Amino acid sequence: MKHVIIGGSAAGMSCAETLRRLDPKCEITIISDEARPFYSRCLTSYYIAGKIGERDMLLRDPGFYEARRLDLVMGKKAVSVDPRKKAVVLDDGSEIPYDRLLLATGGRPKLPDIPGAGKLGVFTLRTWDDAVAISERAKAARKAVVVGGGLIGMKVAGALRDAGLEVRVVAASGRVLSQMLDDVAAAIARRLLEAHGFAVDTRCDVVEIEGDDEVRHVRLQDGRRVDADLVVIGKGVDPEVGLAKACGARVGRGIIVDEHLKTSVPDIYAAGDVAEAYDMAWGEPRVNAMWTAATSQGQVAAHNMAGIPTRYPGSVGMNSIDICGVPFISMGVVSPRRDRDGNGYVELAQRRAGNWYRKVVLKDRVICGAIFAGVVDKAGVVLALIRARARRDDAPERILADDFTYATFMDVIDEKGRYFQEGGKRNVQRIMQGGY
Amino acid sequence: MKEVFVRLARCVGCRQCEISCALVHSESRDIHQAVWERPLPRQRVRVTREGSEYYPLRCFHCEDAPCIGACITGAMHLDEDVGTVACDTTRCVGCWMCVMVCPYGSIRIHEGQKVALKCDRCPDEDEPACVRGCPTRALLVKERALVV
Repeated sequence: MKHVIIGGSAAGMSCAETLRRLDPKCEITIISDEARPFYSRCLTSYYIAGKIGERDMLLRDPGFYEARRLDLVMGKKAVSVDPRKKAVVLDDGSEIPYDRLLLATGGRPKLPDIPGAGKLGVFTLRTWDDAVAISERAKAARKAVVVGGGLIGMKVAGALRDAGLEVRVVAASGRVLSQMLDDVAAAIARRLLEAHGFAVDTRCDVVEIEGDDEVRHVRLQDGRRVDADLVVIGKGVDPEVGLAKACGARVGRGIIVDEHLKTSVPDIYAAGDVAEAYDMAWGEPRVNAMWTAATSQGQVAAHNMAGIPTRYPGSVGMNSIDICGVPFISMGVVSPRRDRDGNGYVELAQRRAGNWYRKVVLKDRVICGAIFAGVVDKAGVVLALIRARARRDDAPERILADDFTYATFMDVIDEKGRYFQEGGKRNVQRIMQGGY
Repeated sequence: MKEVFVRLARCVGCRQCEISCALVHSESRDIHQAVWERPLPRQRVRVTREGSEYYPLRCFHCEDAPCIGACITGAMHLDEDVGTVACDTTRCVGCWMCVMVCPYGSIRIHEGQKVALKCDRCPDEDEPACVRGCPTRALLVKERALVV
């Protein structure tokens, strides 16, 4: 059996490693358009901040690929897939045949049409190479403008500040982290940012990037012109669906996959930031571009590719970010859109002194989302509750009062939570009822 | 492989396991000096009361640990020799992804060091400190295969 994986990051690598574990004999080829072995994409902002060095970016030892007989094709781009011939064509014209193929092509930063975005000193952040370029520029730069107040934007802003720059965040929506937080949590984040010397503009956009060859100023929507010698654009990520589309696979926002992570084309699977797989909190397929989902989708795809039918239980969109030393975690449905989703959702929240804020969102009395700010301990218990889709009427009150532990919900989590799968049964038995 | 098990019926909620745990993870390992250490030594096990029962909650060292899959640095890893989920805090950057996914709430933030704080099952001790400290033998070490 010959497996080919396009994409060498979280989804691709976890698939490759799982395949090797399941089948010591099969051939595995990983094609990556980046000229780097497996590294942590989530650490790029820490790299810019100078908190992580070259070696800590790498997630596997140098001899790893050889030891597991993974054939890594680095720095080459797959330009097309021929599902009839069952072969991948690379940009150097060579062809790699496959029996089963995984598309783990990830995403690509959105590039809004801002005049001057091509100037020197303007970046997006997706790859390690991007991070290297940004940190090179940051050495001689003084003032940075981050376009976009989402997760990437906030992480870059924090990193550049750590690197000693003055940082302005320009967000188009009415609050920072608009996807991840609600108004109250975002207001806490904004106050922290401003108290730590960040300039924050919401409901604002950069309309032009000015300078001769290099960026010198940016012009804002409201007419202001601010100095900048470094600009990072973080306006979101689009799934890299080009290959899938061209070979006839069904594509929505991402590549549409079934519960076995199979695409609509035979013997082709998809996983990671490019896949539109089932979301347990929304109850519909969504692109959840995050490391944990990529890892588990890679593992599930590997089982199915190796001929062991395995259902993907689904993911919950979630994220965690530290803003000026204060942790924020958000999971599932946090800001239900009333216009589209009607009034089926109930939001309950609790605000305490300092930066403490907590919110749970319910649909049909079942928790489907939560926000934690300030104190995030035990957030994982709430995630397990969301995944279990279990109704416990005392749950919102106890979560908001911070009066709960795993023991509070262990019956519903363990009984209904498909979270734990194989290891899980054993986990539960480690707490024993009665003596023996 | 050895495993820590809990006999719930025997736990009386005395929190001796918490104290033993914090102490074994302190600089001095002496209770009279440890209380003056800053940051204060922290326990990795927590006794919680639910209804009339007490639960000493700690890391279960899952075989299919979600925290390892969520870790963005590789700090959280499986120690294959002893079968524990271990955190190399020198590689931890404090992103709290592990806190976000642990269904047992067994990973916390070490406020002083800003790294993940969890049970390491006392790698340098003959017996985990919580087990040694438990006066009612509610916590005990057994071979995994014997129980499951």
